[in-house]
Amino acid sequence: MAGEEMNNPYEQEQINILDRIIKNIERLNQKCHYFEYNFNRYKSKNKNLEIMGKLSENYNNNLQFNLEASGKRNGPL
Amino acid sequence: MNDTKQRQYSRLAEQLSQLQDNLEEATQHLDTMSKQCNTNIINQLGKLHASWLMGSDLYFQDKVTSNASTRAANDANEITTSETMDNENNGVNENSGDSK
Repeated sequence: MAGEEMNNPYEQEQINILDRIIKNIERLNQKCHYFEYNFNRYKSKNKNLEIMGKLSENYNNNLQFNLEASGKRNGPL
Repeated sequence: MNDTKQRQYSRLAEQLSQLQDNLEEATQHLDTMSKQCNTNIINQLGKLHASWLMGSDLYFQDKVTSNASTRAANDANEITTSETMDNENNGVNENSGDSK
């Protein structure tokens, strides 16, 4: 047993370092969960903006069609 | 020591696999978020409204300048007609004065 301890004098230090690594990775995973939670919140709040964007795009398409049909469409600036 | 190290390594393996899954999900989320941003916010809301603003501004400027020019032309016409009327009135008065 003493021989095993003699073979690896840095055993305790390695264990401590591994502990720190594991704690940091756990913290990383928690932050990743928090990020995913916030992203889902952002997604739900973005739905109104998405609808507004589609509305304005449809209105623009109608506008362009009517201008072209009536012949009042000027070229790009 | 070997037991503790083994336990630590197994725990580290679990945490790393979880981290890999989380990072994959995070990259997917970021990808969808950037696409949504580009299509909805920048293209639809940003570019469309900016083009409407510029077009309407030009149209109203033209309208205002054309109105100003027509108003100026009308004012000039009024001045000329009033001057001719004044000249005619003066001519009539002079004639009446001569006759007297």
